[in-house]
Amino acid sequence: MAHRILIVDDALFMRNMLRDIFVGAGYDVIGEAENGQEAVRQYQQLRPDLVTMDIVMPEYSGIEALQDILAFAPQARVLMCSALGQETMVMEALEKGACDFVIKPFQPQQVLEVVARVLN
Amino acid sequence: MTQLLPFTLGAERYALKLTSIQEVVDGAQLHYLPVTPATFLGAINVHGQVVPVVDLPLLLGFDPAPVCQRFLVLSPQILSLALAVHQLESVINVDLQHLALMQSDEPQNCIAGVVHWHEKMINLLDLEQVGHIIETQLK
Amino acid sequence: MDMTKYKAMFLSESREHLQKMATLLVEIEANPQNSASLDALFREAHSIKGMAASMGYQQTANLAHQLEDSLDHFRQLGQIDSATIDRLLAGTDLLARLLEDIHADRTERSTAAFLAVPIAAATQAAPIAAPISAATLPQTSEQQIRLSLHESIAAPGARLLVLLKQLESLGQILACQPEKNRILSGGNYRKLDVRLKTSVTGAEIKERLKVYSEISQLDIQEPKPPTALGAAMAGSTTVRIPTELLDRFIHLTGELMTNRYMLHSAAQQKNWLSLNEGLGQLARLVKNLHHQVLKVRMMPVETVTARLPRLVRDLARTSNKEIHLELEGSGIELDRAILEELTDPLVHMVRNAVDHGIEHRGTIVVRAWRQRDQVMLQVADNGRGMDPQALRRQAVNKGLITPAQAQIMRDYESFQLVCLPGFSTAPQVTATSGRGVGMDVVKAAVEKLGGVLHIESAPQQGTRMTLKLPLSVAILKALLVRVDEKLVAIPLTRVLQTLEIDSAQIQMSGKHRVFSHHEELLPLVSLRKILDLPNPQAALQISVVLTEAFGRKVGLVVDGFAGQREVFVQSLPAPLDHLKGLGGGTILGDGSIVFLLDIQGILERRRGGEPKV
Repeated sequence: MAHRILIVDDALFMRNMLRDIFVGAGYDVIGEAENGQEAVRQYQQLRPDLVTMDIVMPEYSGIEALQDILAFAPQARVLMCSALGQETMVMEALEKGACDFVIKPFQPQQVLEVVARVLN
Repeated sequence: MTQLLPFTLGAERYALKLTSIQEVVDGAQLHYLPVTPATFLGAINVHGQVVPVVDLPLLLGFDPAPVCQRFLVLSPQILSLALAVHQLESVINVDLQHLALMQSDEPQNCIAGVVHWHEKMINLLDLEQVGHIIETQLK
Repeated sequence: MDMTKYKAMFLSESREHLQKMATLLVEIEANPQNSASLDALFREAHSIKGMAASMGYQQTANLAHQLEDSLDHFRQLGQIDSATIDRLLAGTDLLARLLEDIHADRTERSTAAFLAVPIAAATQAAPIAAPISAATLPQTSEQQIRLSLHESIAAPGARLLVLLKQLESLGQILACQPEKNRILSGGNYRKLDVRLKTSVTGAEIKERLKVYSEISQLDIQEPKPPTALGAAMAGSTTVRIPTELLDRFIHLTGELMTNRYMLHSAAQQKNWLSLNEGLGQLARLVKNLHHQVLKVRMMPVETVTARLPRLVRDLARTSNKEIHLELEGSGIELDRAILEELTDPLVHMVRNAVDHGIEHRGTIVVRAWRQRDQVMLQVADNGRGMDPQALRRQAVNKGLITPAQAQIMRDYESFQLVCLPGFSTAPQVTATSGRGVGMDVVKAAVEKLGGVLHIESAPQQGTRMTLKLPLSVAILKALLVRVDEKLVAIPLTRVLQTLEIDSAQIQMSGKHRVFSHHEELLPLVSLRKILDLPNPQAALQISVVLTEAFGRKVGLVVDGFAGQREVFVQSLPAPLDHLKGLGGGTILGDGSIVFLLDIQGILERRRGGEPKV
């Protein structure tokens, strides 16, 4: 069965791009969220195998959403997405339990490599 | 800004980050350390700890010249050793943003990178590599 | 409640209970109707269950619970059969592995497969418990992992963190360079050097890291894997101290403080008399403190012998022999550092006794006793013994000694031949002790501790191997000798005698210098030569340290003697700690440093590892 992925990003452009990358590689994108609160709600409902989580989002940041998700699902696999120059935030997220990260601009090959090893 | 302690080996100028040095001891008595190769000058007593002293220029193949009697005792988390060098200089502040990292095509030189400072070139000593060389020597 | 702080205590206590279970099971097997042992066994399982459950280790608690349940059943039955004991032993093995998982912060392995078969029901077709072997016991080893990232990788620090997490999931990180919080504080790092304690192999780690294409260089080094027994010892790093001893420490600290004030005021008043008195007091207090601290380091010999009953049972079973093991003096105490080093040698010796000593049935006695300030540890069997003539022949055949040497070799010396590397008395390779590998390792380990190995044997009567050990390694008596105006120290246990001989007593035998001592011709070896120091001036009197190496007496020529001392030995930092011939450093009263020589090691260096005498 294909792995099920939830995409969280405030930019529609980014969500679409990620969706294309994942679907093209045979993954099942089962949901999209545009902010942290929505992400937590959808996680509870859908229980995806993997969440890609943008770090910087208005109001409710990706790191907060990550902590909320891990609070009730400690085994959740959350992959952080960040722009160049946000290394400190990425490290904070990793310390708080994110499993790995990818850097924008996305290179499909790299994203898929990281996703594959995280899901294994 | 990072504090570096520059020193010379032959005609070359090297440096170590101050954070990798525990202290500089002046004129400590060297005691006989048997069974070791010539690169070990002996051992010194640093606050009750036995610390072996390595002749860095000899280890890295520089021309023989007397070493300075002030030894660099390295931070024990990195290497439990003291290094003897040719000349010690005063501490400088540099911005390591401008550090040019070296590809290790000549690992025996133990250079982790090159810093430009006041139009001089300073090699940042690669302690990991120094540790490797010592290890191979002892095998 | 944060339970992590109890983890170490849980592990050390559970290991002890598990150890007792294995010993009891072997005892019960020999004596199936012993209901007292069954009761004790039940209580051990019960303790493990209780502790594991309160720590929240579910798998461990479940397994201990099942063992407890079935033991309760047999307790009521009043006896237990041999097949069930196999099964229960397999259960304790599994518990040991679970404790390893917990120790390494891994998820506990599943016990479902084991629990699926009830212990009592398994008696019809129980698989024979696998003997203890390197493959079945949980083995952890240390791996040194060095990696670098490609130059082009963005956010290298965060990348290193991900890799560090991956490594953490494989075991316990013992050291990390750069340290994690330095990575977190944003240093520009692209290299990682990690020492990992893990049960996975280097190849497996490599496989796991293969999917990280950001790694440009990867180097995994596997240090020599410790044996299962060694690993089990190394795991228990907590020491329990009786509160009475702690009270004494506090008391001593108080006295030292008073002493300090006394010395202070004596110095201020320049009162030499009370200064002198104060110093005398200080000397007494320090000696007392040293004595008490050593006590903390002492552990009973039992710590290393407790596993032997199980080992012997399994070895006896695989080799189809009937072997009775007796342990004596298990309460004798030794410094824990010495005990840790003895684990492997002891197993080697017991295996040898099973494989080469006892033919069909017999007894092995492992006994420990105090002899003045030394501890003796002996492994004795009543098996076939060794034939001096056969040993000499074999050594000559292997080119280890010359026929001439064989002829003058005394019987007791010939037994030492088994300690030569490459010497084996076993005609075939056996599964348990391999090909005579071992006795040379045993001897080297014992001598490194400043001890001596003594072998006695008589055909058809058996073999006795006795280790003579110092009580503690940290402090030992040493002989200081001068060479080329330098000082070095030799552990006193390695010194048979110091001699001043006349240069006229020295003769040449071929290229070698020899001297006559009690009608024996002994070789002379110059310490200066071994240490690559310049030759001395010719002298009429020559100072010689009589020592023993490779089973023969050797005279070590030095420039002079500089007295005996009690020295506190500091082990040397890596990479000097494995340097052959160098034993450690010690700081003398005047602040100068003197290094200890490991006699066997330096003589081996001289021979380029070839132990010919």
